[in-house]
Amino acid sequence: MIREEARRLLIELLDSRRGKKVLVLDPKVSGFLGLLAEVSLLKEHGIEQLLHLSTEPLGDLGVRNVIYLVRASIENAKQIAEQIKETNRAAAGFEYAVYFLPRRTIACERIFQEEGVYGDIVAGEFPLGFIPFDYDVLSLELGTAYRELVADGDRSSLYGVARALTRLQALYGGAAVLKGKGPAAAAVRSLLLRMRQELGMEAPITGAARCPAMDSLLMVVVVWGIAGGGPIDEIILLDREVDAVTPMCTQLTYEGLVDETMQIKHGAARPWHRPSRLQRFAHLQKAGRNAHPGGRQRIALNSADKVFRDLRDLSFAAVGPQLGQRAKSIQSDYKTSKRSLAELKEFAAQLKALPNIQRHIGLAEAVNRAIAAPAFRARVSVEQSLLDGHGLDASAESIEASPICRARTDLFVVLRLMCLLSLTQGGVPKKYFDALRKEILHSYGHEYMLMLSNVLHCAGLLVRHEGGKGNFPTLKRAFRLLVDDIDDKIPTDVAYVFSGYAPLSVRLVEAAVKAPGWGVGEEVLRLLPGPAFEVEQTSDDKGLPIERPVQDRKLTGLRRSILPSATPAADSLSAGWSLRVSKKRRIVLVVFIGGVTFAEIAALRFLGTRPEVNCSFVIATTKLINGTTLLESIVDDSIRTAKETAAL
Amino acid sequence: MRVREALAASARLGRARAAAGGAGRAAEPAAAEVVRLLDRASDLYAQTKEHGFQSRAAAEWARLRRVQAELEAETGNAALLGLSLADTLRQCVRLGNHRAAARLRADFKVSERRFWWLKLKTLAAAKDWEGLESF
Repeated sequence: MIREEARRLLIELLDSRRGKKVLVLDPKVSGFLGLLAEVSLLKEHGIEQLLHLSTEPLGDLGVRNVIYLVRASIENAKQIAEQIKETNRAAAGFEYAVYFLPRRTIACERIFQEEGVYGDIVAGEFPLGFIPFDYDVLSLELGTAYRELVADGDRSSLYGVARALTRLQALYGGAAVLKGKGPAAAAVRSLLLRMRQELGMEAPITGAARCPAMDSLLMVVVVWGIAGGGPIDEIILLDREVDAVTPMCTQLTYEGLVDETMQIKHGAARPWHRPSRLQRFAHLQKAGRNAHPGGRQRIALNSADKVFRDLRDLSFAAVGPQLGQRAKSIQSDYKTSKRSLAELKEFAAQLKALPNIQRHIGLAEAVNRAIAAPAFRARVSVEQSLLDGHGLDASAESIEASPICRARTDLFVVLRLMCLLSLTQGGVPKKYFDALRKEILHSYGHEYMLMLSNVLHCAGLLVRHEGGKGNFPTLKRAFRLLVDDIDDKIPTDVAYVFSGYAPLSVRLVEAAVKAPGWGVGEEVLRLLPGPAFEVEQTSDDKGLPIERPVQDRKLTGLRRSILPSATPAADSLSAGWSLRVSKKRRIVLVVFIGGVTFAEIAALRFLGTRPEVNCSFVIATTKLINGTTLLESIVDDSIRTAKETAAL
Repeated sequence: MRVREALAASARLGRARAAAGGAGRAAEPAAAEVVRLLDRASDLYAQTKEHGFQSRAAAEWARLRRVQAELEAETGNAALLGLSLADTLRQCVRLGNHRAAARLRADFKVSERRFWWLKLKTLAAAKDWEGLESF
């Protein structure tokens, strides 16, 4: 339904301009637009040509209508203004419409005014909310949200989060309980309340979908399988700042490792395809000498692929055996099959999965190659010892040595390890701080100086040790972040996703759904940045939306919290009640403001299968990230400046 | 202090950008300008207490660029300027200019272990087996 809604918005936008038109896209938008609409759909609605945003004049396209669909950034507005000016100089008579995502900003309009193109433009906004990436993953695709919040102090992305959440609640019914932790979470909470108050009586009612046709809702729920079909019971807002440690670690689930080694973008990976010698030979025969063997092939990774759905969240160690087992079971079925019609049918169905299995064997091989490198093993072992807190000196030295000994170690891998060191130890010890930074400058170039000193420092990811142990050891104990005996193949704890480290964010969620409130002591919560809150979204006597402290403990779905009543009759009644409460599977929407990793998603899915939790989790986020993409988004422009400087 | 740091940084960047604009016209003066700016940035950083590292790094960078320019002039090989220290060392080893490599190593206090690692890897990558043997 979310997807339908987004598609409808897009089509409305396209139809708002008559006749044939050109669509100019921001490269950041075009990636996920493909998830919403196919090119044929765009064609149907009069799009003649798709272009990427540039400052080149449009030239003669034979079409007079131009639609821009871009993120609302000053950079983009400048480029559009430039392009319009250039085009107008060559030929007049174009009509321009600019749609900003997710909303138009005054700054962008000011730029149009200053550049003198304001009169030529029809400006609008494209209020795109969450984009479904999978049956239980929604993303806003705001890649820079974390950086804006933490380093720039720009909170505009939170508005997008709050609006998307309000929209979601309007579709699926309001959540009864709202929990959150972290400064950004608190800001989103107040925005949510304001938006509900603005809606007044129209505000989404707790526990009931204000959807005109319930049937269509149910149908979509079946299609997308979102949340098992009911309204959302609880929303947990989590600020990425609360847990910056987790994204710095290497994800060790199948999907996570695919992401770490070849980057999953918009729900698809592009592995380097290395053909076998025979294939290469055939290829040469067919296409002549100049043909390029191999190349990159796009592999869509989502739950529609049944093999991937079963494998994605497993620890990578368990993936190989699983794949082998599947291939073998088909083989043995083939041999033992008694060839009755029904059996044959079943067998044919199994064969259908064969190309999928083959594809994943290829993908797993590629991952295996990447993680077999000694550099990867060294990286993981440094991470483990940093999380452990033992052998600090040894790990610091091996980080220091990694860029120079292994010449091509990725800069971001080194940065991730340094940030991890800083975050887990409450700062980088003095004697290593300068040495590490010097090593980076020596190996990658002095032009990274500003990036190191300003950007990472602003984001609080890389700081010097100023005494004390930092919070991490206390948190480690309070949340049992390190779990010793992890069986990768038959996991019993979420810690399997990082092979022994349970992500703090997931532990927080676990605590919050198992017990009323946050389930952990006040003093522990205080160690993490920002306020923690728990409120009930409800309405007052006049039906106007308000917020109040949670009184009705039933809402948090905990049996023990129902007080024993005086009379035995009432007691049995409440017992029956509580039984019903406990039987009902709650649907919890976990919102990661600032991004979420695939390993955390895997951990939450795993948590959802545990009997003691009895929740289905839906994950919403601003962006699917890993440590590298997170750091990239933070230091992106300072690296660009660095490269410019180095080119001098 | 913060303000001053920001000032120093932005002054350096702003001017480096201006120099980048001029680089197309005349490469020689622009390169000299960069070195001068780096020295200035180093001075500015040195005026605050907590930016010793940045000050040293900027000075070191200026020094590196000077050495690179000198080496380029000496060898007539114009592929050094703008490389990082490690890459410069690698390039020197690859070109067989061991004297220059030793000088860089001494100049920038590259530790023994680092240096040998680098040299070994580079020689091996270049398949310079004789160089490796005489190592």
